[in-house]
Amino acid sequence: MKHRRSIWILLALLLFLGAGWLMTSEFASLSPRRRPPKFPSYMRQDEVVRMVNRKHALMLKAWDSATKAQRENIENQRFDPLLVALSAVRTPRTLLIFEIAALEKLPAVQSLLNCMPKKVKDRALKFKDKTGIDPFTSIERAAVAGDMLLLSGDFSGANWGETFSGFQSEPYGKDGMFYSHSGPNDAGPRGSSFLVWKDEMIVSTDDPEMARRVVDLLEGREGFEKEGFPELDTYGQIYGEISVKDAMEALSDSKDDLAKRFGEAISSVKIHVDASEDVVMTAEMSGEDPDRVNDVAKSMGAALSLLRVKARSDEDRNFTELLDYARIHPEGGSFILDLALPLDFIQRSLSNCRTE
Amino acid sequence: MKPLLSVWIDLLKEASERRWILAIAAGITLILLTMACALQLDVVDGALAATRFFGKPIRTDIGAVDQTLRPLFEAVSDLLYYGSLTIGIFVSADFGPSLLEPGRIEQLLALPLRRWELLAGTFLGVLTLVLVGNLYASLGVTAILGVKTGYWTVKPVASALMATVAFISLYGVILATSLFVRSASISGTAGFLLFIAGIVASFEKEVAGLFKPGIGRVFFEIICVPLPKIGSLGVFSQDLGYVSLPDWLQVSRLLLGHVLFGGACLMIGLFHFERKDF
Repeated sequence: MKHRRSIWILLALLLFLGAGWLMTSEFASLSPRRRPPKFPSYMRQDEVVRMVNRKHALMLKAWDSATKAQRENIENQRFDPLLVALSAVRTPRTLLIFEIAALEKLPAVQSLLNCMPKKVKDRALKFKDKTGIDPFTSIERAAVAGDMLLLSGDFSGANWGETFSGFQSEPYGKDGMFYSHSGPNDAGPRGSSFLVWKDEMIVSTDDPEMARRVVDLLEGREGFEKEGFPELDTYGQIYGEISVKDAMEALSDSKDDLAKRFGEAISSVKIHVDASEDVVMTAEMSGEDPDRVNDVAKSMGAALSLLRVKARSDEDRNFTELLDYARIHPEGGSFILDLALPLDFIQRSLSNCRTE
Repeated sequence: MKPLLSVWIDLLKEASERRWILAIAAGITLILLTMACALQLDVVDGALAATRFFGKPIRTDIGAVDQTLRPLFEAVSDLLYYGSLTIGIFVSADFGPSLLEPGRIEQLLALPLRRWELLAGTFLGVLTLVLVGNLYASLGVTAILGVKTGYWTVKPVASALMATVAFISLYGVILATSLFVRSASISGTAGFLLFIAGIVASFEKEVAGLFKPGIGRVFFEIICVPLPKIGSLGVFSQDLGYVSLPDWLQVSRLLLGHVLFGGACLMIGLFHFERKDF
């Protein structure tokens, strides 16, 4: 009897030891869980500071029919020159602003830059040596609006003579310098006309009149009503609005008549991309008729779901990961589409890239 | 084997006669029925388009059903895992003491039964009871959500099975305590304290960081070593299906660790039970 009892206690000891070994902290402790992506939905503190710091005291001129109060408001308020310049482009148009300087420091972009072919890096270095413009440090923001490209940043070290060699230069306004091809082909192909304003903005467009209008706005010769993009929406590292026509083209491959219904129901598409950690994007779509907008939201949700199922069955891992976090938030009269690519996925995908 | 089986059957019969165990079964049924009747999920091409609870629209995202319902499935997993462990502690705390009731134990020991068979039969009987309850609740939830959304997953059932394995360690302590002290409240409290300690031990690194380096911290780390990592298993049960590559070695070690811990407690109980005079 006593012998059997000692077996129980011996067994108990052995089992405790076994349990302790199996559940040692090395194996049982909780590994940090992947946090769900944070989608940009409002301006963060650092972005508010960034917005405020960009405002300049510009001598703007209010539009002709403005009231006295509106005139005073325009004259006394400080504005972001890039947003003022963007108002020169007529709507509707697709407008995207890239925070180049902010993007360059982010882990996902660093992974991409590490994969940049050596040839491209060499070309960028040569360009910098020749022009004094470093594409990675001189440019703070780039904006694409319709056919116009705007670069803003610090170009005080630029050698404009070298940058625009072969171009004809002509001063325009108080601080503008217009560069265009000489000869009859003045309008030239896209990007052949450039306008540099105050060593802080470069405007490239195939419409010289539009470039001149930018400077007229910034120097108060043309009436100014509102910025080309609301300053409170300047959050994320890429933001802007997509024209409904362009969005419909993107949806043209979808089933049913989604693109057509989208065009009928949606009047505005705003996007924000944030790559601070994971690369996340939100697209806010709104329209006049809440029922039709809600109907489009449901159809888009179903389309995303079907795409995810198809990507899974095709074993398309990249597309599956992109669609894993795809979600639509109905907001009543508008809806928000969320898309995300986890940082570890991007880094994994780019880990074996060749730069030669 | 036959005596062990008869103890097992006897315990299940006894459980079926207890009103509050029937009340718990009725409660689970009521929750499932409410969920089945009140929850309306509008699914279009595999995407959850709208949700209504008691006819009232709930603001939910539109997206793939499995992803959109992820918070719901996580909540169900947590409810099944932690809920079944908590209810299990209170439901099972009384079986050990009632087995040792004066008059009953003498009668049982007079039967051709070995003492270890008596304890093992009780242990298995309680585990069966918890397993049946967990399976009933998890299969019910799976069926309701599966029918309503067309998305079928064994995730809730897996969570329920994990909870049953975690319960082995808790019931080992409850039964062993009741053999030393014939009190349902004390053995239940011992089980509940282990439940809390098992959650704390799962966050050993984080909690140890709160101690100043020294003897107190070392003591805490040593105490945590044999404790069942109930919280870690709970996290795995919640993450099932959403983590692309779960560490199955880690999960298996945790599950086996809980079984061994429960077994070790049962051995200590047996050690005491074998020498006890009734």
